[in-house]
Amino acid sequence: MNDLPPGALDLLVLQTLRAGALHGYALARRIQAASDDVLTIEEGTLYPALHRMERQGWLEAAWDRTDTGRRAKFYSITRSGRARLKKARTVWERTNAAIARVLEAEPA
Amino acid sequence: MKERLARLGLHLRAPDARPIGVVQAEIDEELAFHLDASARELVRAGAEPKEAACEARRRFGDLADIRRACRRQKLGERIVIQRIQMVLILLLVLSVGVLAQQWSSTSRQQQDAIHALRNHVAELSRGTGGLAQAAPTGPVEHVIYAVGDRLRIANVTGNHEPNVHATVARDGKILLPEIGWVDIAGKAREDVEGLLTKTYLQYYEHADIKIVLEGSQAVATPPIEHVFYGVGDRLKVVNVASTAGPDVLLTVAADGKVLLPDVGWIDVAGETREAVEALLTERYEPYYEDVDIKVVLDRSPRAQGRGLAGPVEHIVYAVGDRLLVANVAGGSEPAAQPTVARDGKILLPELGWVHVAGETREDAEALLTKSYRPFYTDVDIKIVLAGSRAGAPAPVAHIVYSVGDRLKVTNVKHRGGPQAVQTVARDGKILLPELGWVHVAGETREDVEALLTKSYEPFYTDIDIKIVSM
Repeated sequence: MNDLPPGALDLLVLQTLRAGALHGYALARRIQAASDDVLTIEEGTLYPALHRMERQGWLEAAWDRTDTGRRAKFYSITRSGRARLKKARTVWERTNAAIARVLEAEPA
Repeated sequence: MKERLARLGLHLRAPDARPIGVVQAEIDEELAFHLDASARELVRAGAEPKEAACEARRRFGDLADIRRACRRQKLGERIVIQRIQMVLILLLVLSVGVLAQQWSSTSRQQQDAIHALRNHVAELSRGTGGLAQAAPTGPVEHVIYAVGDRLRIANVTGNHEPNVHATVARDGKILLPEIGWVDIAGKAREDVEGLLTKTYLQYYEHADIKIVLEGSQAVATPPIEHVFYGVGDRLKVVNVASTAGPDVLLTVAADGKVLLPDVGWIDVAGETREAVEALLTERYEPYYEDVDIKVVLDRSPRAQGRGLAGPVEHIVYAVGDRLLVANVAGGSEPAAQPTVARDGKILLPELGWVHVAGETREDAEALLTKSYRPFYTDVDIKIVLAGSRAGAPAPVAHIVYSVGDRLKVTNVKHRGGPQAVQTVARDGKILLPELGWVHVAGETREDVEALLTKSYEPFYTDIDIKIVSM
């Protein structure tokens, strides 16, 4: 899925990283798997977003070795990132509930 | 919140302080890892290694674009900010020079006029008791804010936020974190404190806002309905919605435009602040997730009593113009600060002499971008007019040297070559290292450059002499 609503990518990244640090590739695959292959994160969107979130203080990055011994950049969520996630999630849920109410409303 | 407050100050953020090469290498390694991991997965699924690598690359998309986008996040602002800082330093130095020259040439009559004006202002302050706050006056019943007042706004409860400095803009408003522009000119301190306390209680659990008047203009001017930008205005452009995005100080050029990171030249002269803020917010939306651009008029020549001409349709370069030539697409090269010589040319690294007099900025930028493509991967040349000579003479076909000319002789091919600044002596000669006295008066620049290049060939392996008139 290429057309994520505004703010959705940040929400997905922050939520997925709550479980632990991941490199960009694993993060994209984890989101894809968790969404039953509905959401495919484009690399062209993912990496600039990761760097932006790192600059915004929501993520921290550190170089480490993968299981295969290859060097990779691992991202983890910061305290500020958790606060951002909480706020964004509340807004997201409220907006979704409101949209659902509109969709389910009986035509007048 | 602290970061957002800092953005309202005049300090520029430092995105990533490490050398550009190190940051770029890190981005490349991260993207290469992704491609490699993707290819391995395809191999595990049964693809041939070569096919897998191609497929991984295809799925990844435009690597150069992604690389650029990552670099923009990490370094883009830094490169542009560095260049803008360079321009500002240059402008500051030039302004000091111009002011010093003006000061030295001020006639006795002008000094008398200034003295009379000062007396008049002093009389006004004594007579009206309200216009001038610079001279010490007795206590007033109420502090009423006016255009140009410099304020400190602080929350005196345990929260300590907001705690910012603000200057009342020409339309009587101040820019505050969370709440944006607030109209305060003509209002009493107590009223404004009450209003801000009430407003900030929506954002903080405890709020008790107090305002300290830290400075005021000598003669307060009444607020105007809208702030319109003009040539020479210095603007601070900042994204108050997020720590990402622009945070720069820039000056409106003679054609009424400002050069902004990511979005390039934008026309602002004659536009209201609201219109410019809306336009910039719209332009920056594709680049950043949370965007709310605010523009603060940091300094205006009009406010200092110096009238300025309206914007021109195009900037056309002339002899004596001082330019800043910079590549805004990527690396730090090329970067040069040439002056348009008497024959209308500027001397640039790699390119040598390039004719720009009589050309518009757009044409010159396009020409240089095209000319630099063979030398650099990412090229987008922009030119900032850093200074201009009043009543510039028309360019001449050839520069011919004469007695008294001050020349800078330099080798543009090799740093180890001759470097000399010499004045043409009364016998028409200049003294040069290794060569001794060389006759140049009455000769064209091209001939002298060719002669010196040939004369220096026995001394240096890589030689191409250029001469700049100082």
